[in-house]
Formats: sequence, C-alpha cells, structure tokens
Amino acid sequence: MPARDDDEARRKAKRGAMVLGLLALGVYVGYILFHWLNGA
Amino acid sequence: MSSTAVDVHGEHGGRGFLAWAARWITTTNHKDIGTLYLMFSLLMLFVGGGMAMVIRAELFQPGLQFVEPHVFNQMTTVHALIMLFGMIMPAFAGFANWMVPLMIGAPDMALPRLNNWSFWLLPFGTGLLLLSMFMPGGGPAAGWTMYPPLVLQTGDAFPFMIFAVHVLGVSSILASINIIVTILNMRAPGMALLKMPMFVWTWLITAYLLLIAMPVLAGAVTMLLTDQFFGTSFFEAAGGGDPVMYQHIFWFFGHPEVYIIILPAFGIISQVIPTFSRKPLFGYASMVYATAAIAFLSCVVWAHHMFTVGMPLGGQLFFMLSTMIIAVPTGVKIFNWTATMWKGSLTFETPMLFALAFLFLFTIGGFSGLMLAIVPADFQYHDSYFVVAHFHYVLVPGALFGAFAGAYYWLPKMTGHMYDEKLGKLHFWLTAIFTNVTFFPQHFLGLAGMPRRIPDYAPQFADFNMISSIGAFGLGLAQLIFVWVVIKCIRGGPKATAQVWEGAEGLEWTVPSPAPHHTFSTPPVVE
Repeated sequence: MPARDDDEARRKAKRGAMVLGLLALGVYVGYILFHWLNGA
Repeated sequence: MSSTAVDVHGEHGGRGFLAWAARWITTTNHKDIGTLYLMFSLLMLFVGGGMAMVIRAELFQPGLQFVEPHVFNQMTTVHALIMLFGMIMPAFAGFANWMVPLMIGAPDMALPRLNNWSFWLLPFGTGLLLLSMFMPGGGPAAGWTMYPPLVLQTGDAFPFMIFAVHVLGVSSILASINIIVTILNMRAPGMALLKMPMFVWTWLITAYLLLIAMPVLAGAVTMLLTDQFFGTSFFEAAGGGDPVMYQHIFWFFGHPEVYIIILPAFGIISQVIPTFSRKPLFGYASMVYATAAIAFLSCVVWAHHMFTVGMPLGGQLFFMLSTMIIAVPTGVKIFNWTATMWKGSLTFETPMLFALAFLFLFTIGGFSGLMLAIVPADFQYHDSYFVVAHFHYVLVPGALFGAFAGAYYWLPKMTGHMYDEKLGKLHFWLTAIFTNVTFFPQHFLGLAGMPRRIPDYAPQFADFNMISSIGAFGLGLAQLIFVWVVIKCIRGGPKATAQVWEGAEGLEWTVPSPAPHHTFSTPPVVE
C-alpha cells in the first residue's frame, strides 16, 4: 500500500480549489454579463 | 506528517477566557470547526424557530392580534432565510467537517485555514441579515425569494440584505470547494471513490451543486442591487428588462438549493439505517448513481416553481415531466433503504427512529411535490398553504429529522458519552407528533384556498389554523429537550466505546470516543 504524501495532496488540493474558485467566479460574472449583453 | 497539518490550537492553548476565545476563533481543526458549525446551527434553530412562533401566534385565530402585517412579512421572509442559510445548511456543513475527514481517513480538511474562514463568514452574514430588521423601513419583507419589483420597496435594509446573501454565499462556496478537494485528494490509500461511505458521496455531489447554484444567486441579487442603485434595468419592464427573468435566475439557484439541503440528509440516513439494521446498505452503487441523477435533474426543473407566470406549452410539459422524473432516483433510494431493513436485525434507538420517521414523512413531502408538478393542478395549488405544507414536509421531517438522526448517531463519537436514550426518545416522539399536527392541516388549508404569506384569513380557515399553531408551539417546546440532551451528553453520561453502535461500520468508528483532537496523522489501511 503506498503511503499518503499529505504535502503533495494539499498542493493538489490548492490547485483544485483555485480552479473551482475561478469556476464559481466565472459563473457569477458570466451570468451578469450574459444578461447585460442581452440588453438590460 | 505534513507540517501544514500540524494544528497548534486545541487543548494546549492556555487558560482563561482570552485563550478559550482565541482557540475557537483561530482554530483550523476540522472537529473544532464542525462543532462551531453545529452550535451555531442550534442557536439559529431557535432564532428562526422564534420567528415561526410569531407567525403561528398571529395565525392562531383570524384577525390581527400580535404584529403588524409588515412585521409579519418580515417574519416569514427572515424565518426562511435564517432556517435555510443559518440553520440547516450549517448543520450539515458541521457534520461534513466532523465526519468527512474521519470517514475517508484524512488528518484534517485539505485547506484548514480556508475552513476557518468559511465558518466565521457565517455569523457575520447571518448577523447582518438579522440586524437589518432594525433599520428604518424594517427588514426584508418581500419573501425569501426576493422577487422584484416588490423587493425593491424594501427600506434601508435592502443593500444589507443583498450583502448578507453574498457573504453567506461566499461562505458556502468556500466550504464546498474545501469539501470537494478534501474528498478528491485526502482519502486514505485504498479508499477508492466507490468505497466511500454514502455520507461522503452525498456531500461530494452536494458540494458541486453548491458550486453551480450559489454564484447564480449571487448574480441575481447583484443585478437587483444594480437595478436599485446603478440605473440598470435587468428586471424593470419600463427599461426593457423583465421581472420574470429574475424568477428564472432565482429558481435556477432555488431548486438545486432544495437538493443541497436534502442530499446530506440522504447521506446520514444511508449511514444510520444499515447500522441499526445490522446489514450493509442495499444497492450501494445504485445509491451513488441515484444521488448523482437527482443532482443533475435538480438543475433542469426550476420553472416548476413558476408555472403560473405563463410559459409556452412546451415549457410546461418539459418542466412537469422532468420534475416527475426525479421521483425515479428518489424511489430507488426509498426502495434501497427499505430493502436494507428487510430481514435485518433491527433495533430502534433514537437515530433509527428519526431515520424511520424521515422515510415515511419525507415520502409524504415527495408525493405532494408530485401533485404540485402537475401543471393544471399547480394552477390551483400555487401560492396556497398546500405549498407551505409540501415544503415543510420536505424540510422538517426530511432535512431536520436527517440532522437530528445524525446528531444522535454521532454525539457519542463527538463527546465520548452516550446521550440519554429516554430523553432522546421523548424528543423524537414529541417532535414527530407535533410536526404532523403542525403541517398536515396546512394541506387542507391550502386545498380549501388559503393563500400563503398572509397575517389574516377568512373565518372558515380558523379551525385548522388553530390546530397547526398548537402543533407549532409543541414542536418549538420539544426542541428544548434536544438542547438538554446535548448539554447532558457533553457534561457526562455513560462512557461511549470506540465502536459506539454494534452494527456501525467505517473508519470513524475505529478511533476512540471522543475522537482525539488529531486523528489519522498516519493514514489507516483500507482493505
């Protein structure tokens, strides 16, 4: 059974969190922009 | 052992109030933060519950008795917002913080400082929302859905309400990101995705739903803000906008929100029923797929909340049928829970009682949901007390009973003591009986034509309203027993073993009770 490398796992987790955070921000800004460009 | 996983807080932080406060404010330990979430949630149960008592006192008999209509509207609005964002979501976030790392064999959440921040945003957001009720013009009173143009008539509280919703949304998004990356990166070696406990699976899927839904709510309320203060007209017909568009955007958040609340409860029930049936969960893989299917479908049914605003026949058919299809994966779950109990060696401790009540009563809420999904019938039911009865059957015996089941199930692991079973059972029976006394008559009121969100009503609705109010007061008082059970369990009681429940399986039951401050610094071996 390979040992778990917590440092490596946390580094990966941080990268993943940034991607997910950007995704959430993208949905937020995208939603508003979409409706803005549709003539609000 | 990673240096980032070392937590210097906890039991070694010194003595006195300041040390105690510093420990809880700066903690990055998942168990501490879980406890903070759970305690906050319990406090909010009584704040939101107090508002429910005001509502039911006013509706005890026809006429205006206790509060002005504007105050009544604030009560219905803030009761809903507090119960959803301040009580039930934090309750499940608390269980996730406590149990997800224990269940997957992780030493902590992947991002402990983010975890601290996620929690501490919550009291600020909730406090802001509550304090906005004392501003000139009163607090938010346009309903938790905040529909324009009505919501734009809110007084000075309006921007504060919007900011509070943003803060609560950021808190939820950060917590969900943390949960996703913890589950995907921190599992013990050998813990494959399809070996994870169902509670972890339901939270993984819930966290993705949160990530999709919450920014949409933030977008909707930001557009309200710019409409009010910055001259846009997203939702203003006079400027070329469309108020109905707000409803579409809101419910694109709002319907997944329902499943954000109920899926973690499904997860808890999936842990509790096998334990007290002394059998493995029936159809584990189908439970995972059913949860994912429910989450996907929850994103394509939103307009069933707004059939009466008018939409093309094709739209009505699509949203009616897609809503009804959700009954299929939900039926799979109900079947699997029942099949788990089939020929099991059942015992009926308090967590199991709450799980069984969940099974029966949540199903009632599900069936009334199917009735509401039928477009022509919905034209009759819409905005009536039938809807109030429906969603309270989903949220109280559904989500809240799930949370109670989880609380009784895991209290011995958290505190190291067994709770008082007699008091637990008394709490269960009073809660189960008064829940039905409160909410079942509301079906009849709705079918007879009583509209929701009104402080006064026609005399023919008096009897059922009185019954409902009596039930609500009983339900509120019964929750004091739960507080007493929790305090008693924290202070002492029979020592809990590591295993706690004879039939319990999973990594969380391999650590001592109470679970030590640090667990799984060395990863466990998962067969």
